[in-house]
Amino acid sequence: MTLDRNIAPLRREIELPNFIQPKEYRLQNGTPLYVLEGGSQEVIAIEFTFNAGTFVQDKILSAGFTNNMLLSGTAKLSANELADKIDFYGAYTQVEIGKDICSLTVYTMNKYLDEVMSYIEDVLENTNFPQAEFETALASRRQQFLIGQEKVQQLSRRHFNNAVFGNTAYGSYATIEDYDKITRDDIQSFFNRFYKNSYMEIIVSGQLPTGFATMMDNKFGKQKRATDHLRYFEYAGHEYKSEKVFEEKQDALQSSIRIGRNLFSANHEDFFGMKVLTTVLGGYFGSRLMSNLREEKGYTYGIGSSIMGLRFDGVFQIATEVGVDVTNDAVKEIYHEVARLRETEVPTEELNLVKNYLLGKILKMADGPFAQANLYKNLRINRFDFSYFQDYIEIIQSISAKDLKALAEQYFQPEDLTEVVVGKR
Amino acid sequence: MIAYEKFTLDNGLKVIIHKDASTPIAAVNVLYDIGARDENPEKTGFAHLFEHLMFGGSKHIENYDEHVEKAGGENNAFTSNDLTNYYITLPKENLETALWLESDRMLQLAFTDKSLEVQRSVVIEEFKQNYLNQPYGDINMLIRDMAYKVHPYRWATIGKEVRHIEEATMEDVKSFFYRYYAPNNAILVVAGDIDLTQTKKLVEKWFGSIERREVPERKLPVEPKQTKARKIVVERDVPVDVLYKVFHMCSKNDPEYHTTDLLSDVLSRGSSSRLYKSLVKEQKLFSDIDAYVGGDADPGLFTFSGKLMNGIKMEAAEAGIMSEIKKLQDELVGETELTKVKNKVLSALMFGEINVLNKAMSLAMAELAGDVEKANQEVAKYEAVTAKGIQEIARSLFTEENSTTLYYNAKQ
Repeated sequence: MTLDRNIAPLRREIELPNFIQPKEYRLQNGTPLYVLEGGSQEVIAIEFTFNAGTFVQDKILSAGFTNNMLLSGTAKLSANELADKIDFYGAYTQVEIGKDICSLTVYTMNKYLDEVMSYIEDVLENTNFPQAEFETALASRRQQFLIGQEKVQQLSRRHFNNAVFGNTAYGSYATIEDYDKITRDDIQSFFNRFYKNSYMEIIVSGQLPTGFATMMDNKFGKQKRATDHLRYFEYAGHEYKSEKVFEEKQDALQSSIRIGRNLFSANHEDFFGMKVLTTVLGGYFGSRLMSNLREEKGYTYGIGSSIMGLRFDGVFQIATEVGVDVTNDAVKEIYHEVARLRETEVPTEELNLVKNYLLGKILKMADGPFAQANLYKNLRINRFDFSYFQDYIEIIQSISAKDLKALAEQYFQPEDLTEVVVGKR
Repeated sequence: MIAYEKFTLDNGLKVIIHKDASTPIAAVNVLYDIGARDENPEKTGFAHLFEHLMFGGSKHIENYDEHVEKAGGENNAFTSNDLTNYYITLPKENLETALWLESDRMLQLAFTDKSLEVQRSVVIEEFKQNYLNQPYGDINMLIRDMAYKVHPYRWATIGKEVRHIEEATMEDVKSFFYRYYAPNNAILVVAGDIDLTQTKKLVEKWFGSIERREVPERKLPVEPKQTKARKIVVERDVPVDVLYKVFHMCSKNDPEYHTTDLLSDVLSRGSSSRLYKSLVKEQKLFSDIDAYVGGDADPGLFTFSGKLMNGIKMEAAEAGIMSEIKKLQDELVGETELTKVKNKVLSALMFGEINVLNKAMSLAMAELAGDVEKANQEVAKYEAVTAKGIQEIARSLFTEENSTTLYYNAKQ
């Protein structure tokens, strides 16, 4: 029997992901502990999250510095000693800052969990930000900032966020002057206010030793902590108006382009539909934007579009870096692709491809307890649970070309789009 | 430990299969034994350009990516000085799609003019985006050019110059394919919740009929031992001074490799490491510093790199590094410190075995290094490293005659 390579093998329906139902414990002080158990390796990831993203800061850089300096030392242990001890057990720590929340994640072999968590207990209660550590961090981050200023992508991101979110907490950005204004005391007060006695959540994944929950309660359940104060955050919002911004950068070989608009938070009824629409536009390799600007015209190494839902607001963005000689052509093509989605329905075959791609992507993103814990952390920002994915999958499966066109007509009007270009045109 | 089954097809294709029942995702990894080191010095950047062309359509399949997406999968590839690696992850029920795709482009590419034209532009944009338009983007190229006089590691994977890519012809491309892209020059790994017998059948079905090709024997010029220190000083439009100091080291397949790797960890893995504590925190010579090994198939480079604090002179920064090196040469690393770096590596290896694609790649890389079982020997090799071994490497590697130094000065 000769092999016919012209015929693709039969494709089967993609199975839906199996979400672990997180076990929920409540520590003595009200801190919720979510546990996703499983995995074949004797390792654990523990993630501590706080409502301490840039949204809550009064002084620019406070949130980022505090998060970055979480392991800078306590009354008991200096930064060096802390690092020595945590490293000795082969554990890794990672800090992450976002607009709404921030986190400290610890990865460890489960046989050393108890020892490692003792140090983290001390850190979360007693970090005292020694002046010398602060100065080291300040010098390093100032240098990183200066280097970042030379990158067209960084500059365009700043302008774009500011246009989309205005002077709200989501739209602010640092300037070099802010690095002269920030002090060690600012960091300590931020920590005291938003970490030490503040509401915290813990998400754990991996293979857990016996007595795990009791151990965590002993270490993290005693500290007095505020209850979940999500409902006390206020967001004034702002009157969004599209802008066109161009910043020239001499010697640039590439221009950074960002086109998009203010949108809505993940609670909005059109949120999932827009996720599908922006995938068609620029969310995968065969998307409209990639096919046009990269595969057909070679303008860029990469272009993409996506939406992001924050707690109180959201954004739609197309982003790319292109050769300076094609900047204007690229901008034109981007508007052209957006217009096509307004004017014509997505053909069935293409829509089915995108649906399969998205289902496969969710399956991959939910592959195992560690991956699912990561998803869960992001869901918790809005106090969602895994039913979010059930809802999302339903939309993916049911949304029609007609629905997508209607969304494009509503949200992709050119006069609503902000355009930022940094480079040369 | 990663369990696997290995067999070789008649056409020379090495196949490794790993079963993992815990995941709904299957990973298919195809590793070709061709990298930038195999290029013609007048036609560099080719292996990488070729990686792009592999996505431009094959004999029976016009659009590779479309089929991956339809199957709910994702894919990517990377090229290094030693190898080119392609990988797909997708829901396990669509495994056969991946095998169909990979076997067709191993068989023959579509070789269209359009594809070459477009990918040429894309690669040129990549060259600009990552190397020319980025502050410090040319450092790798400067170092390589200075540290290697003869061996092909003297040019970077992206290519020596944009011109080489601009001048690539269809003839060049075709001959490159037939010379290096062959079943007898490749390793296929399939991993996931798959049935071993069924998978073997599918692999034989799609790859069995591809004929072996004549792949030239690799005969690369050996880099002569460096006998005198080398130094370059440049000035660039960047905000911060940067210092690089590199030393020739062994290949990743050498018995001394794991010792050299732990030596780099003692120096700079994590905030409890020596360089960070001494040169960043205490002496404030650098705002950031790193030391790392090159994990190359041929003898590579051990690199020190750091961003200088404002007002610090290059000579002082360099002296700081040399003084840390001297400590390692004079005194043995203590037991606690050695246990620490071993624990960190152990932990990282454990975390590395969670993901099915990671496992597939580890198996492929180990097979390329000569024995797939090496993927399961890493832990033991790291555990066997001794303090004496580290001191010996520090003494033999870190000599001025073996060094290449780059002073990358910010224009005032």
